[in-house]
Amino acid sequence: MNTNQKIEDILQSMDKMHRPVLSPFFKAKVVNKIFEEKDNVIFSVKKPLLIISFSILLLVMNIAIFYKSNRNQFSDNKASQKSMYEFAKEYNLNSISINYYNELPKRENLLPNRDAY
Amino acid sequence: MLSDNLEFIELLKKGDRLAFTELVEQYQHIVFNTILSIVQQFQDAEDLTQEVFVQVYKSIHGFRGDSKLSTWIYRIALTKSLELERKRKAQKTIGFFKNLIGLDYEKVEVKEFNHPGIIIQQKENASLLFSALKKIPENQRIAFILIKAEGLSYMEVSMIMNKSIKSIEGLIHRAGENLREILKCHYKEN
Repeated sequence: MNTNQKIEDILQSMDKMHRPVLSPFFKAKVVNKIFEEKDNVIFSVKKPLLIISFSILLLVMNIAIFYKSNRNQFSDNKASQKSMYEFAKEYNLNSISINYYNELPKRENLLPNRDAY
Repeated sequence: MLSDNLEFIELLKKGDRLAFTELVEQYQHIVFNTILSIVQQFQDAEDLTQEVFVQVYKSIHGFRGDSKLSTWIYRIALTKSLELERKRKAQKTIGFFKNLIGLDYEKVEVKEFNHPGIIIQQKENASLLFSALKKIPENQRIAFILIKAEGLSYMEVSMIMNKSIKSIEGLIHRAGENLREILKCHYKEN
């Protein structure tokens, strides 16, 4: 057989080939992989969304708590503030202030003693 | 063909498990054979076949039905195979440079490929043909494999490769010429 004939034989060697058969488990393996990936895709999309929404919720809650606590202490709402009088009355501070007043040095004591001159 | 049935495609788009099982059943051997003829490695071909079906699942929503489902699946299979080929080539180049600068590089021995679908009498010839196929341009190789190994018509190949029938004829002609040249050189060397 000369070289040209051999080459022609080689080129025709594919003509009689048949399709190789895959293992009978291959189909199940592929289908499982497809639907496993589907679940992973759903989870991988949902997971970051869950984390983000949870973080936002935490942030909002923190802001709300901070705002509420500050509002009680330093509220700008004048109407909600008690007057000093009410405050004093509530804590029975009137007597303290009176006592405090009583304990102050008397005016005449503060003035220079004229007799000294 | 069941796969070109619109209802079947709709089921696939809805992610119906039974429909996908049917699709894999129908196309697994076709896809595997095409990929195996290109990548020439059993394990890689099996892995890529799996990847093709996963890709089909992911992209089925984009399938507009302009072509047959089989044509579309063939295209995915070819793209995946060529991607792997390019990756191998890139690894080979990196390996060459690593070798050049003295870094450790494990050279992968290219084994003689024996296609399991070839009859025993033709094993030796087919092995020579497959090694020669690696040396011809990508387009010619794909056209040749689709026609010879898959037994597709020129019309079907032209649809898959998105080329006219004339250019497929040209590709097959040039592939034949190139393969003859390569095989002649092989016989001269030996």
